[in-house]
Formats: sequence, structure tokens, C-alpha cells
Amino acid sequence: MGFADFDVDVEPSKPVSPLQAGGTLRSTEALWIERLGGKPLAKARQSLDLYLRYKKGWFRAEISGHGEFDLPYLLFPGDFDTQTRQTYAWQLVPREAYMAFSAGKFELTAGRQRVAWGEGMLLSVLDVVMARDLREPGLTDLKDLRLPVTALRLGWFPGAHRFEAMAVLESDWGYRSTPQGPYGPLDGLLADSDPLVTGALEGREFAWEHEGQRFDPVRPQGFLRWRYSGSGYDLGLYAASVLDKNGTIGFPSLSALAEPGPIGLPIGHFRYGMLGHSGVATVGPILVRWELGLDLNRPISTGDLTVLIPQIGVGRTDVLNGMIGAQYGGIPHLSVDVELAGGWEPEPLAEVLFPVAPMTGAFRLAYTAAKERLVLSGAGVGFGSDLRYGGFTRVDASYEIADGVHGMVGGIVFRPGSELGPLLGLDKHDQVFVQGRWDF
Amino acid sequence: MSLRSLLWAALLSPTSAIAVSPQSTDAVEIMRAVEDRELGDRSVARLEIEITDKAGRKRSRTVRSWSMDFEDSRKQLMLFESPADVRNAGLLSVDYDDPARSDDQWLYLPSLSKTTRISGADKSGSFMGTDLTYADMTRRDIEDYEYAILEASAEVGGEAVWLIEARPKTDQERSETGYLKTHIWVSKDKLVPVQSKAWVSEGKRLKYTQFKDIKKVDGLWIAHTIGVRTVRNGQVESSSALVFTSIAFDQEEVTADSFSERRLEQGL
Repeated sequence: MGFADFDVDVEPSKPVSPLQAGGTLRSTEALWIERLGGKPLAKARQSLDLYLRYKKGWFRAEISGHGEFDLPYLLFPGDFDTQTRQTYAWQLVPREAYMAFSAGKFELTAGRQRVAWGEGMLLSVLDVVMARDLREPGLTDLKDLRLPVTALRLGWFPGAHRFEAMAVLESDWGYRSTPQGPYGPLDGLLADSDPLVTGALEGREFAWEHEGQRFDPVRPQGFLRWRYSGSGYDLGLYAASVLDKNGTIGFPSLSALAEPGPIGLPIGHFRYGMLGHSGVATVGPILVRWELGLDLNRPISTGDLTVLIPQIGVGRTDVLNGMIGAQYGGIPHLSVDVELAGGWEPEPLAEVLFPVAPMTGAFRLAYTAAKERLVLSGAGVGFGSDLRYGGFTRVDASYEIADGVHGMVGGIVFRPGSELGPLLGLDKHDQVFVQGRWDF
Repeated sequence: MSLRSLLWAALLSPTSAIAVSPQSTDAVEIMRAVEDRELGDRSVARLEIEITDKAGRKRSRTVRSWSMDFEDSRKQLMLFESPADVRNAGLLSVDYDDPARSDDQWLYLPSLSKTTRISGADKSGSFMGTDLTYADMTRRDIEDYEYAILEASAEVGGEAVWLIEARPKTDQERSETGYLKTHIWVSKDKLVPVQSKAWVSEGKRLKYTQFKDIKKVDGLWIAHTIGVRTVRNGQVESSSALVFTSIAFDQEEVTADSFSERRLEQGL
């Protein structure tokens, strides 16, 4: 007790060498809590990430890959359409694969890499560089959310400033829920359609068809960023010529409707410009974050799905987006984040298919206990000023069982909202989940 | 008086310290000599941490750090070697000499691929899961405390020491550090703390810290081992052992560019 018998004996570990190898093994199981009487297994995903990293002097390189399989899609293939099985059943994909060369205050990074823009922790109107894994809203591990893209990035770092120019050479749209997948929008979309339409489409399979090639040398995306890290505040300016990652939906061709086989739903990824500003400042125990983004000539899906023959098109307009958020850290062990984002169109388009930059609110609470061994988190996102476009709330508890070994339990509740929104159709999707994770 | 002040003093105290007579009974003079001394500059260190909980379960952390004095501040970069889930995560801190200015801190998490400014408001939270807090890792202003000599001639491990009590003058300081008061045993010979006992406001805990294996490195007295033990209701709640497996000063590799977002993101 006190100072008595105070032995300090630590076995020295081997220092990390210039060549690092490691990875993460995860097992995640989830149950649909509103389908316990049927097939309640929502997920039984096993995944392995491996990386090899080298850093010495002016040179860095990394190569990594991700593999996963999800048992419900393998055990019950008949329950899912072709594109859903292709998207969810298993993956074996490369992740980072880059080399970085430093020379004084300059650095050139070439290859598949991750770059995140903006200051938002929960919502961002500027983070448009990388594609995302959006197969399961609110459930994707942070480690998996941003997907690396093939790019050339040149950085200049004088003092507290940071200038970066980046050319993205890969048109990766990431992963999204498939039309008829477990989180897909099609059932919700067809719910309000004419019975003749729904009858004609009975039994047909649908699949997203992204226009354009993944590697298209004539469609590079360009990004510029300046960031300044000051005393008590950071500022950023951004400019980009970017291809719309969300895309605009098109109407399937008549031949696709007439012929057997999956009906392709075209998704166009058109170019638009973006100018942005971000900032973060410390005000006492509060960290205030903000973002402003001006999307120039942004493509927007327009049309009406409720008529017999849906009219779908693409309109263009400028959209001014904003995000304001705060993090409060004045209570011991508790971190509170609140962010609000929304957009304004100076010249609104008529009959947009989906809401353009609706008011979105998000929060996250994280409480740490047992010397950071236990983390209790709650988070939620709501779309629309009165949640008309839905929302979800998630809680989880993570515990560090041993060095690099974590267990997590949690749950998520979806509310799809009363109008066409990003959570359309998620009316029986509430889940409980457990995850085991080993980082090595 | 926070442990960080003690950590800085214990780890980075030059042998040619401000002269204080061993017979001195002026607590402020002694603590000023301990606090207001030149710190080792352009340092590189590797720290191994072992945390033991009430049930005897152990966790390990390894961190590498670089620090350097600037005109108005001291900057520190910490990169985590282990455990694997935080490998290559990093923390960049700017500790301003002016106590009125809040420290700046940026955190880089490889899983987010993003550097974010973090709030240093809650400094009473655990540092890397250890018994130390972020306040312990931040230099405190001597003017924020009232000092009193409790024993002018005490002895710890055969070493002549002063026993000094430090009490925060303001509620803000008390709240930020989480300590109601601290007793510090200061070596008369080395002018470094050799142990301390802190009264933690949360949960009526007591925190015992010992600075051991104090050896000279490049002319500075360095405590190579620190043991911290948190006691509540007479029971040891947790303990942490921090061992510097390497530490060196005036390293050429440490330059102003070592303390940037770029370096933070480059990792180990």
C-alpha cells in the first residue's frame, strides 16, 4: 500500500523496425431483432486485414489488403439477388498500395492512398476525395469506411502551412446497398408506384450500373487543399473538380425491361466543381468545427417515381453546403460531439428525386471508464428538420480484453422517415450485434 | 501541482540547477528551482508502459516521443508503437510558456486517415489508460499553487529530501488537474522529486508516484523508471509502470519539421 513494496518491472519490447507487418482479424455477428421468427441472422462477417509498411529516411511505402466473407449470403444464396450476393457475400480487395518520397518540405505520394478532407467528425460537406463503403448505414467500422483511391499527391509543408495538389486517377464509387439488398431502396421506392408497374416488375432482378470506366485517363479528378495549424485554431481552403460519387440515377433502357435478366439501373457520375473552407477553434472547453462548401453546377437527380412511367432526369444547380459542430470535453471521461449540416440552393430545381442536402443532425457521446478499457458510445443521425427523411441511433460498448483484443456489443435502431430519403425502406432493420477484434 | 510538473522535473532536470541551500525552508523557492529550470532540448525517448488493474491483469503500451523547445513553447510528438490497434497513431502537443494560453493538441488516427485538433479541456482523463492523466503530461504554472514545507529534513531511500505540500489556488486548476493537493518529496542533492502523493478529487483516490533509477544523461538527472499506484478505500485500484528504455538529448534528427501534421501522419 502507498509507497510500500513498489516494484517496477517491465519487460522491454523490441522496437518497431522500418519494416512493419500487421493486421486485424474481426468477427461480427448481428441479428435482425424484428425478424426473430424468420431468418434473424443479419450478419456473420469474418474479415482479415493485412498490411506491410516500410519507412526509412525519405522513403515510405505501404501495401495492404482486405478479405471478408459474410455467412448469411453464403448459406442462403437463394434469399438474395445476384448483385447483392456479389456485394455482400465475400470480398478480396487491395487497399493501400503507395510509395511516398520526401525531399525537404516537399512530399510526393503515388499509388492507392487514403486522404480525408474537412473538419467534421460525424458529418462533412467537404470530404469528397475518397469513395466509401456505404453498404450498411451506421454499421460500417471506421477502419473500412473510407476506401483508398489511386492518386498522385504532391505536398508542400512550409511551417504551419500545408499545401497539397492531388490528381485522382481512379473512378471508384465505393460500395452501396444494392437495389434489392438488405438495405436497398427498391422496395421503398416501389411502395408508392402504380400497381401496374409493381406487377410488371414482379420477380425481376435489379442491379446498379455505374457509367464510365474505373480507370479512365480522360476523367481525372483534381483536388487542391491549403491548411494552416495555428494557436487555438486551424483553417483550411479547398478546391476540387470532382466526379459525383453518389451519382444520379437513370431510367433503365426499354430493352433491359423487355429482356430477361437483371434490369440495370444506370447511375451517372458527372463532374462538378467545389470550393470549400473549414475551420476549428478552441473556445474554453468547447471545440467548434465548421465547414462551408460551394458545389458548382452539381448534378441532381430529378423526376417523379409515382407516375405510371417514371420520369427521371438530371438537373444541375449550385448548392451552398454548411456544417457547424461542437465538441465538449469539460466533463471527465465524457466526450460529446454535435454536428449540424445542410444545404441551400440559390436556384432550386423543380421535382428533385431525392432531397438535396437536407438539414442533417448528428451526435455522439463517448464515455470511457476503467482506465480507457471500457468505452460506452451512443451516436445518432437524423435527416430532415423534423426527421422526415429518417434517422438512426446506435449504442455500443467496447471493452479491451487484452492488448489489441477488443469485444463489442451494441445495437442500432432505424427510422426510415415519411419521405423519400437515404434510409428509405429500412423499416425492419433494427439490429443487435457483437464483434470480436484482434489487432496484431 | 501536477504530476507532469513532477515528471518534467524528475525526467529533465539539469545538474546545474538553480542553487537552493539544503537548509532552505522556503517552499516556493525550492519548487521554483525544481520547476523553472532548463529542460533537456531536442530529446528522443522510448517509453514502455505496463498497466496492472485490480485483478492483476496487465496491459502494455509503447510510445516514442520527440520534444523540442521553441521561442514561446515546447513541442512534443508522440507516436504509438503498441498495442497494435493504436500503432502509428500519434499526438502532437504544443505547450505554451504563457500559462494564459491553452495548449494545442492534434491527434492522428490511421483508421480515420485524418489529423484532428482535440480539446485539452479535460486534462484529468487517463493518459493512454495509465494512472497518469493528461494534466500530468502538461506543464503547470508555479503561480497557480500555494506551497508549504511539511518537513525540512526528511529521507527517502537514504536520500535527504524536503517534503512539500502543493495546493491549487483556483477551482479551475483543481478541476483541470483533478488533484486537491499533492505532497512532494524533493531531493536536496538533485533537486528532483523522488516521490509524490496526490489526493484525487474524483472518488477520493490517492495516487502514489515514485521516481526511480535516477541517472545522469547528457548532464541531466533522468528518472528512468516511474511507478504510479492509485489507491481507493485502502485497496490498490490500479498501478502503472513507465520505463524509459532509451532517452537522449540534442539529437540532430529533432528539428522544427519534426513537429508538424506531416510528421504526425508519417508514423513510425
